[in-house]
Amino acid sequence: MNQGTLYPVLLRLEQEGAITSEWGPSENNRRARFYRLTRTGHKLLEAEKSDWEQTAAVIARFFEVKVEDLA
Amino acid sequence: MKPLKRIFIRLRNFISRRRGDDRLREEMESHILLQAEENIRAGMPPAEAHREARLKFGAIEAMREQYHAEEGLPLMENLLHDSRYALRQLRKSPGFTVTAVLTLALGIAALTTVATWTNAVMFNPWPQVRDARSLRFIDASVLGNQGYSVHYDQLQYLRRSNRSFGEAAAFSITNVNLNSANLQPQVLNAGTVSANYFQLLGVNPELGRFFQPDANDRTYGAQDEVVLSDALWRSLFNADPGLVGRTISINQHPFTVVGIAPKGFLGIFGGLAEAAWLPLSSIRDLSPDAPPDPLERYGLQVVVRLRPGVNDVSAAAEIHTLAQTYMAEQHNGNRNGWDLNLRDSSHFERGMFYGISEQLPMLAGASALLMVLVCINIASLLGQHAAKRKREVAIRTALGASPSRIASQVIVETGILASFGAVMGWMASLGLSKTLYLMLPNFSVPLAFNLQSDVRTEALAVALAVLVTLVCGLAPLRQSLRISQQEALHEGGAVVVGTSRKRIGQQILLGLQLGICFMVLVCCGLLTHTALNIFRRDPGFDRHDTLTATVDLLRVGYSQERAQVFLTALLDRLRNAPGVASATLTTHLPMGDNGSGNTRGFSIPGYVPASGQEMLVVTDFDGPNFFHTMGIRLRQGRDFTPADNAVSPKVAVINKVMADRYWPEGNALGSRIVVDKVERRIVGVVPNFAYHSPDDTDPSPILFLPYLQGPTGYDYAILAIRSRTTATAIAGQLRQTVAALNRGLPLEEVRSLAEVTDEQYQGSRVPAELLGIYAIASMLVVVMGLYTVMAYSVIERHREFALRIALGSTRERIAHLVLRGTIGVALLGIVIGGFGSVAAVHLLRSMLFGVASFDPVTYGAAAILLLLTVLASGLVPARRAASVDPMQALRAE
Repeated sequence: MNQGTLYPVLLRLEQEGAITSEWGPSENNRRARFYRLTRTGHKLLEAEKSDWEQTAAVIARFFEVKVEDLA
Repeated sequence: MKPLKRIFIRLRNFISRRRGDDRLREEMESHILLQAEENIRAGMPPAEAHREARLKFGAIEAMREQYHAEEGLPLMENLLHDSRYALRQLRKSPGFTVTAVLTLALGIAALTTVATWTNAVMFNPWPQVRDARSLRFIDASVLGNQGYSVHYDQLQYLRRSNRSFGEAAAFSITNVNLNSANLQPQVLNAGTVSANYFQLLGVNPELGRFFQPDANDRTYGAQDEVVLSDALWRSLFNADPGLVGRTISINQHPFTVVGIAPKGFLGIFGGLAEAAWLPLSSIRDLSPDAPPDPLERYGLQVVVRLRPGVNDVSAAAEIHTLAQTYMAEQHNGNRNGWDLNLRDSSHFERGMFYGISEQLPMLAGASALLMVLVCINIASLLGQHAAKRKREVAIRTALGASPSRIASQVIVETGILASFGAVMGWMASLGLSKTLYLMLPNFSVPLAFNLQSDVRTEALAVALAVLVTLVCGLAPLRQSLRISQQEALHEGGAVVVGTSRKRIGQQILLGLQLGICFMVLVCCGLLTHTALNIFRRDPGFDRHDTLTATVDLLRVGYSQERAQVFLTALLDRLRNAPGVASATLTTHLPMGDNGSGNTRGFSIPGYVPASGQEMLVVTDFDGPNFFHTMGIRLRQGRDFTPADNAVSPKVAVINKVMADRYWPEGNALGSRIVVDKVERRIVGVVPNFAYHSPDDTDPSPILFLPYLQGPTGYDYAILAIRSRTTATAIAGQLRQTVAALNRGLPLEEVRSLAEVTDEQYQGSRVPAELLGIYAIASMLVVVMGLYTVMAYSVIERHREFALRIALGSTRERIAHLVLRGTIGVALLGIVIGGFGSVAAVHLLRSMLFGVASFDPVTYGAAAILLLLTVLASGLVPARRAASVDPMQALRAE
């Protein structure tokens, strides 16, 4: 994936209110845009994370299934 | 919630045109710089580091576009761009735009006008009436002839016995004289209605109250009551709210105004506007001579409201059964020719609705065909418009425009044209729909139809716009999408003759257009032929130089006896007045609309009717010299004379049909006939003449009795005076003579006999005229379509003609070449139209009179007219083709 594809996604997250951004000085004193998770963003992240974990767990169970379990 | 929030932000960005483009550029730049620095730190040479960073980042322009698409509403934005672009394009080619919009408006106006009329007579005739769709009417039929009124006892029986509709209300229409302080006496068209009329219709008073709905119709109201229409209240009484409760004089009798009907409510008598409503019980006070029970023989219209869930079939069946039972109870089953019928409003023959609804299918068909013509025109106009922009589309495609963008551009442009056309057409139909009144006979009664534009007609206009966009936009769309860039950008290349496939499609469309035009021409021709046949047919009497007027003596307080004395004196004076050839009176003028078809029972001594044969005959009352005045020469015997008076022996005249039917041996003259228990001697036999309509080929028996030989039961008398010069010349004479005898007697409906009878020719004249308008409109559309196509094809074949001329062809032959192409199309059109006409004429054949469905003259004339049209529209393009300058045309490449 190209790095540039990040920006439309960032915009969408910002429109959803999950992140905010502002200009600030970078390490070598150049102007850079800083993105930060908001409270909504944290909540969203938690929710997505638990969703993902659940999905992952379900899929993991599929791999553990042996033939005799299905019998 | 989240998607909603995003849409909101994007909408805001779209409207405020806010763009984060600068921010994005800066961010991307810093991103790439950071990445490059990292690469340098990792040991790359600087140039390589920057290149690598950019590669890793991806296509910057594509990112920007993606970002922008996320930011605003790209769909809306494109639409806006397309509309703006389309408007600019349309403005740049005003000829094309104006032609397309006007043509579309013509088609859409025709269809929406017909829709408005259909709405006015079939779907929503009375917007003020609650749920008018569930209203039905009941009328009687006698010997299979429908449209007879119902009597009060029959109504009461229906009210008592039916299960399909519960309540039934009755109404009728009558002229009354209105007198009020400080007002000129007025003749009003009033409704006489049962007390529950307003309640059944669900109309609420604007002011005051209506009649007590549950009252007894025979005895209602100690004092007569009247409800006025809003229009009358405003025009005569300046909308005075104090009028309610006051007394006005109607037919010289006091009536209390109890309420004002809501604005726009003008009764439900098939398009006739009523100005006031009186309860049935007041009929006794409308004439001084009223019988003790005026409702006994008073003709009523009956309106009912179907119960929810009851369908027409079962309701009609119940009504037929009730009619049979009623007749069995009342007349021991003797009058088995009597029946009751359920009608909906569109077949309300007693009003004007029927005359309109009869024409509607034809009008709708013609309008739909016109719309097809218009669509074909628009499609070919748009096709050429697209062809002219081939290059532009090719360039756009080359620059990366996707097919969907090109398509949306074409559709937006067509859509804008269609919306303009629809709006213009709809607005034109607001005015055009008023022409409905021109189609109707010029009655003395004011007419009112619901010609307001309503949701349905507006929806139709919108639907038509969408349809036109989709149907007409399709061809140019395909064309635009198929454009090959190579071909388009190298215009001026090898193409000398247009591609044959496109030409064939074009020819078929043109053929179809001409075919439709041919159909309309044939139908118009046949109807014109019909109208001429009817007009030329001898009605059997002389319509010219005769003045007619109606007087109603009972309304001004005369008894029947005194009225007869008055009328005898009036005729004596008129007969001797200067300029008068002869004068008479009658209850029914030949081909007139008053009093036609009233039947009476009769018997003939010695004649035994066959079982089931009803001894009923249409009966008129006529004054002395009636047949002479009408220009009817008796076959046998004599006319009525002044000597046929109240004390002389009772006499009668019959027509030939009646004489042939009951006295087949030809001995009618001098025979006796008993009418209403009075024995009369037949003193004359008259030929059959056009009694009601000029195209009646099956005359029925008619009995004529002297008007001045005792009571007739009629309130009015129609005076008919034959002039020595013209009908209008004696109008002043008539007014003077009447005024000399009674200054307070108004003369109503003063018209010449020609004017009265003209109304009966309207039924055949109006459809012919209407189709004539459609024929002219479709010819115009076709000429326009043909011209556009040919003019464009001449431009396209410019080089071909130049080459031909350069190679030695004469200019005449070039012109022939162009015109010959049109002849093929015309022949195709005549073939298509010929087949179409078979179908159209089949639907029309009930309207034809004295002309064969496949009248060769009409078909031939239509074909010639079509050929001439085609040639005419080809003339200018042919001239242009012939005047091509080969040097200039070939050098221009």
